This record gives sequence, structure tokens and C-alpha cells, in this order.
Amino acid sequence: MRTLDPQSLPQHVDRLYRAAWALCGSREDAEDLVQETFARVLSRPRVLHGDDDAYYLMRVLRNTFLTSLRTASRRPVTVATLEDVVAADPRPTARPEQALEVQELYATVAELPEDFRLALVAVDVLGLSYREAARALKVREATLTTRLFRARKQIARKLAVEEQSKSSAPAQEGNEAGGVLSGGESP
Amino acid sequence: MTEKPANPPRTEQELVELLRSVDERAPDALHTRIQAMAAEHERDHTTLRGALSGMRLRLGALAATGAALGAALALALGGGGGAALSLGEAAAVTLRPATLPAPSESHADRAQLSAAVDGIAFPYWEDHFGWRSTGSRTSQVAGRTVHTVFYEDRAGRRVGYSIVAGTPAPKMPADEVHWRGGTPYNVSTVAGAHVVTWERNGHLCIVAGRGVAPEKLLTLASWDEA
Repeated sequence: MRTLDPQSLPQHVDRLYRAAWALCGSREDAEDLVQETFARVLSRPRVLHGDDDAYYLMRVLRNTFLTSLRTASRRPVTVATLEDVVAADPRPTARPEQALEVQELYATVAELPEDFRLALVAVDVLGLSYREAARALKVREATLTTRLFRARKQIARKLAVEEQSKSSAPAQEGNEAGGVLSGGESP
Repeated sequence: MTEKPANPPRTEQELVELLRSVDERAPDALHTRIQAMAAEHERDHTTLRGALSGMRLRLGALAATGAALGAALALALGGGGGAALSLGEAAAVTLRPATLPAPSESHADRAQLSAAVDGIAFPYWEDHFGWRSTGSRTSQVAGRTVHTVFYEDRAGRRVGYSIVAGTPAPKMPADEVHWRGGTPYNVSTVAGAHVVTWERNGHLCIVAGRGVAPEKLLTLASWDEA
């Protein structure tokens, strides 16, 4: 048993940001979610029972995300805020094409049903073990495995469809979308 | 993610590798904010630990110990920090989206919500003005903790009310200064949004909104049911 060291938190920002981005599908919302997650973590001393920091942060991230979803569902959609104008992060993207690819990938993840999305983010984005992810998401390991499989299958299918629609626009010459994941259900 | 594959992932392994190859770094501004939050947390807890240690050494002086602990708690809960908070930052954070549910009406005082910062409560405007609280958020800006409650009227207009934790209050510039009940209220316009700033018990308060007249913001800000 140990207490979470607040000074160790900054080293998890990048991982948690990617996880939040995949959950929200938007960089701006991901920033909010990460900041709110850390604010929650720091609000009182946290005792970890032999757990990895990332596992614990995923738990808090999940709870914060679900809370924000419930909050968002109760309020009307707002327009761009002042921060978009005066306080946006000025850091230029070093590789715009890469940012676009990540945006596409995470936007696809963010379209998954909530349970599938959380499973995929915990394991494939944050890098938790199945056991840690199951505990963080408060589900059985078998349930997590099933959700993860279905999430990956849906992602692969969507990416294949998107790729096919891009490449076959002028002529239907595209690759077959089949594969272990995306074409497995065809008779 | 080093480079985009020619084709979408065709196997489970390829998809996992694609997802795990993403190495996008969080924005520098977010790193800075999290580091500031961690540093502030450490500073506050160091202060609190010092006060508790002092208390043990002065068991016979309960009054003095209580004062020290009270001061330490005020710092721990306050957000401390003396970094300069700009008007633009104060307005921006007051207009950002909510991330937490709205606080409920106070049972003890029908002019207040149940949320407060350092004992300074957010107002309950629904009965008097028709502005109901719709959400809240906590932000870190320039080393200060800022608590915001968001309100909306029946027309869907939105106003944020922020209270900056800790004293002294950062000084804010003003396009105009209006006095209400002996208190100066700074009225400004920042990037098209009207902003009112003033002090309550030494704490900076901000009310800001888009499409809401500055006179209305001033009325809301200066409302004192008591």
C-alpha cells in the first residue's frame, strides 16, 4: 500500500491525453478531461493498493468522463468560447499529416459505443493489462475481453470502409475490405 | 505513429500495433497546467504539514495553534500563488464549457448555491433573475485555482461566474469602473465577450458572457440579496 505521489503525475500526462482524446474524439475536450481528472486526483490523498499509477488514473479518467457525459447531456450545445480565441495552445503541430491521421483514428474510436470505447482505450491506448483494465472499468475480465474484441472489429471495419471510399472514388479499384477482423462475418 | 500504413489494419494485431504506435504528445499548455497543479498541491500540503507539526510543539497554546492551523488550511484550500492572472485568462476560463454538474441551491440561504470558495458562495439567481445554474468546472490558471459555475436564462444565453481561490486577488484592468454599494466593478470587453471583475472578501470574482449586455452582467454581479 502506498500513497500516490503528486509529483509523479506529470509523467502520465501524454498517455492520459491520448486516452482522453480517443474517448472524446476531440483534442480540446481531451485537454479538459485530463485537467479535470488530475484536479480530482489531487483533491485528496490517494492510497494505491499495490497498483500501477496508470491503472488508478484510468479509473479516475473513466469516472470523470462518465460524469462529463452526463453533464453534457443535460446542457445545450455551446458555441466556441473565448478561449478558442485568446488562450488556445499556440504550439504548432510538428507534423500536420500525423495529427490528421491520429485525429481520424481517434475519431473512429470515439464513435464506438461507450463500453467498447472504454475497453479499447484502457488496453490499446493506455496500455493496461486485461486484468488492470477490467478492474479499472469495474467489469469482469471475460466481459472486457469480449468488448475489446468487438471494439477492435468495429474499428477495423470502419477504417476499411473509409479507406475503400477514399480509394474507390474515381474507379472501384479499391482493395478488398476483407481480413481477419473486418470480413470475418461474410458467409 | 511513425507513418500511415498503406492499407487499414487487416488483423487484430495490426490494429493494436497501429493504436499503440500513436506517440502524440499533449500540448505544452496542458503539461504546464498539470505541473502547476502538482506543484501547488505539494506547496499547500507542505504548509499544512508545517502547521500540524507546529501544533504538536505547542500543545499548551491552543489559541495560537488554532490560528496557525486556520492559516494553513486557508492556504491549503485557497489555491495560493501570486502569479499574474490576466484579464484574458480570467475571461477565457469563465467562458469555457462545464465539466461538472451544477451545484444545487443552498438549504441554508435561498440566495446562494451550495458551492463556495473559501466561504464565498456562488449566487442562486433562478428565482430572482431566471438564470439557472447548469454546470461547473475547476480550472488552474496562472497558478491559481478558479472555480466556475455556469448559468443560463430561458433564452439560452450563458454566463459564467468564477471565483479565484486564495488572496490577495489579482488586479484586473478595466475599460470602465462602475460603483455599486461601495464596491468598484471593472467592466471590460475581451474578444467580443463582456467581462465584469470585482472583489468579494479579497477574492477576485469574474462574471462573463457572450451576447449578454454589460449592464445585465453588472446587475447580476452586484446582486446582493442579503
